Amino acid sequence: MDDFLRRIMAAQSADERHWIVTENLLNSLRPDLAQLAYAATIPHWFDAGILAALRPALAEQAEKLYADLQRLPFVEPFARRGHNVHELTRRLMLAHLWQSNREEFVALSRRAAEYFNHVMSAPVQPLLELIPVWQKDELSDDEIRARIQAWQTEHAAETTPPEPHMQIEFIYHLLIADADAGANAVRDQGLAWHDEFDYTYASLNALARAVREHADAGRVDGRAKGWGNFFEALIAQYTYESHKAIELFNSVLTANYPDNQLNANCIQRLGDVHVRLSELPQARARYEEALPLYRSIGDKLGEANCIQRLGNVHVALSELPQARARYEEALPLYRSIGERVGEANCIQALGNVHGALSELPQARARYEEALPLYRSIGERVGEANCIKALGNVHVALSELPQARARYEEALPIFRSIGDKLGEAKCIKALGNVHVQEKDFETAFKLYEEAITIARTISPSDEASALNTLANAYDEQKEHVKAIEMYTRAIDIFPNQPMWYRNRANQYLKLKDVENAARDIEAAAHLQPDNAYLFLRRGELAILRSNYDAAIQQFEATLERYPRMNGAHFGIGMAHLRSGRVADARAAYERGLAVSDARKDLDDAIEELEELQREQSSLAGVDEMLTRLRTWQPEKQ
Amino acid sequence: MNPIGKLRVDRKTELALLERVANCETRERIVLIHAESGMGKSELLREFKDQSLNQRPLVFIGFENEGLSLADVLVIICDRLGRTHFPTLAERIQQLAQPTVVNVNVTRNLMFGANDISIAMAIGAADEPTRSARRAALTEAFVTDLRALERITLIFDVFEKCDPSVREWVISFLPHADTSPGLSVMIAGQKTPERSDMWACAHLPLKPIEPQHWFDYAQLVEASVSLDQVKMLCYLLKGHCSSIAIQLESLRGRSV
Repeated sequence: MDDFLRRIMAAQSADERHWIVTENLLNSLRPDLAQLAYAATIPHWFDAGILAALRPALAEQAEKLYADLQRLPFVEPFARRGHNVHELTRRLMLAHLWQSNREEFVALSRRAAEYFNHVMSAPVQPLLELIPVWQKDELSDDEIRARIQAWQTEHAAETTPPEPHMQIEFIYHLLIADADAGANAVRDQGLAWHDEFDYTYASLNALARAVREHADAGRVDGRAKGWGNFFEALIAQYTYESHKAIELFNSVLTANYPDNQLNANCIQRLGDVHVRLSELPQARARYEEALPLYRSIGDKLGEANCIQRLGNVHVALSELPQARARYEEALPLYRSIGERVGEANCIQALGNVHGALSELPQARARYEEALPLYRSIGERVGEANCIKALGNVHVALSELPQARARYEEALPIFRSIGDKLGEAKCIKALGNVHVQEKDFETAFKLYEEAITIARTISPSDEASALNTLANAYDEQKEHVKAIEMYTRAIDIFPNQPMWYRNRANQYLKLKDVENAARDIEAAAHLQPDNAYLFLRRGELAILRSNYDAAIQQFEATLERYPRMNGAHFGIGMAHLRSGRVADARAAYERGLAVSDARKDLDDAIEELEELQREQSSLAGVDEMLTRLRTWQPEKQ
Repeated sequence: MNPIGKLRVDRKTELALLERVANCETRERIVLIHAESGMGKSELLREFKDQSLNQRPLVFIGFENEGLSLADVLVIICDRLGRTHFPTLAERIQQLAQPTVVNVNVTRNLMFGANDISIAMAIGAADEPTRSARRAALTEAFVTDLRALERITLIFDVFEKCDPSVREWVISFLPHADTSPGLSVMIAGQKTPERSDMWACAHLPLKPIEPQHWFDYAQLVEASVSLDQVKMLCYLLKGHCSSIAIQLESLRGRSV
């Protein structure tokens, strides 16, 4: 007792004191019970069956010893599964066993892994025994596959998939028994669970916690720890904890584990976090870093996803030709591995790029190609988005009844699947149709409805809905009201350069050079290489009577967006104001050559009318006005 | 079970408080039991559960190592209390999971499981605000049904280990519990929800047990030890219940 008291008094921590008393008790137990107590700490819960598997030499007495164990003060009931060693005692006993007898720890873990694996595979054991027989009978692979399927259908009731807690417990022990196989199991199970449809990630979280338990105790390191951290980071990313996610992804990368799939996944996901944070250059750099890694390990899906994401970044940066190239690169990859969702998404994204480049027939063709693909795989979000995008094409072609029909087809799909964002966008699009029909009253009602829905989604979505409302005020020539709406959008979500460019457009229309210049610079700060930025700069230069500078800006616009007829018309206007009628005529003709709809023309006509009022004797104005007013688009 | 089959030591005061809350004799509908590992939180709650047998409907959920999702938690509660008591929840699940179905068949729908709840919370709700709105709608329906029952006790043990999504839900559920006269919620763990102005709670920090009680326990387990020695033990082990119990057990039938 004296020695015991001395040790207790000398103990530096609560853990140390608790271990002294625990060891004291274990030493006082019969050897078989003490042995079994150590075995019982290995799993998170135990019953007589588990104990028998862990200590085969004591299997015959397992029931009795299990009853004896239950009398120990650190053993407590575990709901529906038997008992467990109290968490604090278990942690200390495991640490002691790991330090003093690692071989024993590994052996017990191996038996535990075998036990849980056996329990999980027991229902399909008869099938596993049949397969070699069929192979011996020289059945073809297709025949064997058919027989497997038939067996599974017949025995569906008794072969339900194992519960997640059993799978996690198996992996938890495998991590110690065979580190490499354990790491692979963490990876495979985590990848299977990471996109659970319910967005709760409870199973994935429990798996990551099991890995962390070993890692924190110093029993697991290397790839397994890396995969555990990767999945924790993924959950943080999914639950909008971006900075925690970045920290965890970086911790995996810093450890430099010899696992290129893990590293590539981490880098790609870091790119996704940067996208969420609107840090597009960083996102691009990450995707470009992950791409060769995926290629080096022959991971086609990872490669295709990476290329597609690069396409998305190009779209966000308004680099449309580069975006198209990326989507066209990803598409055959998705097809080669039969990944139909990726294929459909890529085709739709290509449609979006064509749409943004005013290549409307190509856009329509892509959407019509993607739509049946989405329908064939029951992907309703994609289906609804595709139908809505077809509506957008009709709008761009001034085919308003067809556009309305498409939006009205998409809207109930968005509603039926509870996609608020899609619903809000669809209502906004219907509002846009009413604006074009000059039915502003209905349009404003629809926009208010869209704003109300968007407000429940996120600040950026609310700001986007306000931007649409502002565009409608612009259509109505209510520029002051439009500025007010853009300002509200900026107040809510200040990191979107489009809001500044659009507000600058309103100031330009009000000839407010100072405010326009300020907004253009704010937009340039956020996104320096956007085609519309150069367009606004060109318009500002015209207001300042710097016509040559304006032409340079419009040309810079066309370098980035060749089909933007506004830039051609801008060049025409600059030449006209400089007295170069022939150059102006050529520029206006180029603009008309890429026009698909009347709408794009209206602004140019208005500007010419204004010029006519200001300088009635200026050469070429009447001619250009007549040409533009009488031009009819050739529908492609 | 431990040597005496019941609480190793006296927690009469704590049990009395739990009893009063469960019997709706206090303003507080919520009890937080917060203490470090090994102080007897789970043991106290198990004892309370045993005492409550045949007295009141009670659901005990421990988050030891389960990876339970919110859907699992709701199903466990509904199963223990009886599915027929949750028609509003069943209807809401069907409305959310199958929005195109106009006439809801509640009787058939009482067969819902965790998967149905997961679907109702998540299907087509790709954005977090939509999912949050659905969780709120399901919680509201769940609370409506709970309030129609009398004197229900929900116990959440090992709270620090529950999944973050469940933790968030439990915290959002507490204001409802606070305004439900027939409901009591007991949460135990090394970490429990932060106190809030949205709900009132009784706090139950488990204090060290008096040496006299440990001495009585030692006699029960036939540990030959004097009261002074027990006092010394309690002092040296800083009153840590699990450590003291283990040490007394190691002295079972032996003289110090």
